[in-house]
Amino acid sequence: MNELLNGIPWGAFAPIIVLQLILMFIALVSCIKEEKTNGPKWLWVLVILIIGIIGPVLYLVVGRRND
Amino acid sequence: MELLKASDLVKSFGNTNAAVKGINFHIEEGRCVSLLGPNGAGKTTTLKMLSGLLAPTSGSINFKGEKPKDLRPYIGYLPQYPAFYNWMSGKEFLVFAGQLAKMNRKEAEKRSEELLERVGLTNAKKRKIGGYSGGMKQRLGLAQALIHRPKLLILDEPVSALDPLGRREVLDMMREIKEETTILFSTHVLHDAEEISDDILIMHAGEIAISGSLGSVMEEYRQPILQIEFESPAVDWLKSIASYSFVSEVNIQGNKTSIVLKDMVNGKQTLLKDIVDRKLPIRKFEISQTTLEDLFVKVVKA
Amino acid sequence: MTQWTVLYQKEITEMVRNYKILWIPIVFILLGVMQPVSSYYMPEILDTFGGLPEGTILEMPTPTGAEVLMNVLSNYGMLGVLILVLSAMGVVSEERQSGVAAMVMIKPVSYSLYILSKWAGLLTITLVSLFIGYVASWYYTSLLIETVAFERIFQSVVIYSIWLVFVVTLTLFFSTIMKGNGSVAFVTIFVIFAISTVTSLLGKYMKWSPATMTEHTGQVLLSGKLDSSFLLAFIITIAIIIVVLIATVQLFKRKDLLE
Ligand SMILES: Nc1ncnc2c1ncn2[C@@H]1O[C@H](COP(=O)(O)OP(=O)(O)OP(=O)(O)O)[C@@H](O)[C@H]1O
Ligand SMILES: [Mg+2]
Repeated sequence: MNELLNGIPWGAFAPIIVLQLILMFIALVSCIKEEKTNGPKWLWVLVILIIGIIGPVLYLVVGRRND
Repeated sequence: MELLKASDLVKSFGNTNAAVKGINFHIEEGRCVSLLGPNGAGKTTTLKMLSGLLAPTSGSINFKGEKPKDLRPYIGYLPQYPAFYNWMSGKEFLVFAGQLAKMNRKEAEKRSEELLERVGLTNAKKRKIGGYSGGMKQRLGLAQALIHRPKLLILDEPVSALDPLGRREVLDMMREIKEETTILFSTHVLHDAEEISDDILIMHAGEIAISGSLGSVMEEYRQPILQIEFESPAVDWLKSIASYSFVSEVNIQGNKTSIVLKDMVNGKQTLLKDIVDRKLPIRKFEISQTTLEDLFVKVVKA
Repeated sequence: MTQWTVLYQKEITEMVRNYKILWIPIVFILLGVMQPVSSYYMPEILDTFGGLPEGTILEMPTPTGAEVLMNVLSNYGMLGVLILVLSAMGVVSEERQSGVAAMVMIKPVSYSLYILSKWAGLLTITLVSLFIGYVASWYYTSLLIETVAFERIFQSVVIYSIWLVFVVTLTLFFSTIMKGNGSVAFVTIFVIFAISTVTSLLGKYMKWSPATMTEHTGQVLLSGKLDSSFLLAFIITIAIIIVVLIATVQLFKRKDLLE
């Protein structure tokens, strides 16, 4: 297992993971701050946390009620 | 002095009946004018044309004797349903509006502070507009309309959506504002019109039915009214009195009746005698005069 | 400060407050770097996690740098365009619907200025996202696969940005003339899809089409040379963009902003 982990080139992956986390964070903050979302909020939180990149993007594009 | 004059103003949407059918009126500088009319009379349409937001189908609008290409610099407008960028703070929106009205940033900031104070939003100025109440939004709307010191302030139903308290506040503000700016506002709350306007325009079905100063209109259309309240309906008798020559109109609403008289002295005596002779059970017998509301109802029903 | 600056600044501030200025570029970066990373590590990943039977020889030629970047742009062409259109669909229609457009136009603001500020705001977010994402992609590609000449990168991104500008201009147009957000996005995507499809089906007759920009982009990346039909397509595309903008302003003028 250790070998496997060492095999992963962190230099290349780390920025990607960081960006994904930022994206997730933005979506979460926006979702929680929003008074009302399109659809139940708890579901969006799950979607944002679980579905990789697509979840946050999906929320940011269609989940927000625009004001 | 004449501030604004509308000549043969027409607005039609599509090929249906025109919403505004060639109206003529003018607004004197320094007056507070109310535009009255039932729903769909064409008030909003008229105000939008005067504010430069809607092009008239035909007709012209003169401002101080000239025909400016763009009326908007001279006019402050509060729409019937004001909307804002909810993500901005109250102050940000006012500064934004001021800058759009060609003020520089400093000026706009100064004027915004002034107006926030005036409409009582100083404490909320940094909060997002999204969290404002209806009354606060209305006051912010008033402030944005005043930001560039317009010559004419146009308010479309400024108090209709407010609770009694909010309404009082806005009316009081309007009373203050009218000392320095000409105001034209629409409403269907006749009491408000009676309270603060100098002149009135009554619109019905796209036309101006009555216009003039509040005093002269009231004078001209004033008629004595007899209001009688019965303990039980007295329909038969009420039907019979229509034949008296001094009675011009009888309106029955349940136990209450209002009778418009041509001759109060004679009429009151005859009717009172009738009531005594017939032993009609009355609860109230009151002499009064037609109000703006009666006038309004008459115009609309005509 | 001029009205123009005020309106444009408002667009930017709005994008800052709703985080668009952050998340759209991030998505473009992610789309841009995933491609080179997955191209490079795919054999390894398959090897480690694929559970292929012992002895299987993977015949997976590593793509060239230019091919990777072409794939990136093709991702931008699908997902990128989708995200741009969906995030821009309400740009005018929402303001019209809420009535705040009327609150702006009640001040002495020219109709063209309002539309142009929207357009500039959209261009800003679009081009910033594209450039940042593409540069990130280029960096990863040169790190993991091979360096592609900067000149080609530069040319290809400029050509590709013309296509995205076209897409965004169309979105603005439909957002101005239509009301529902969903229908704006649907119609815009449909039109873009139709233009692309017709262009690729009837290539011979469609040399002028804005959709050929994506083909020219690929060409430049692969060969470093521009096809001779580029100039025609370029001029036509710019002309269409200008005409659509003018039409947008004219139609916006006719809208009753306070229905
Ligand atoms: N954009 C429009 N398209 C078509 N018809 C319209 C439009 N705006 C107004 N009308 C019509 O014009 C007439 C006058 O409308 P307007 O809004 O001016 O009335 P109003 O006096 O302001 O009424 P209210 O008291 O309900 O606000 C109405 O019959 C309305 O249906
Ligand atoms: Mg109205």
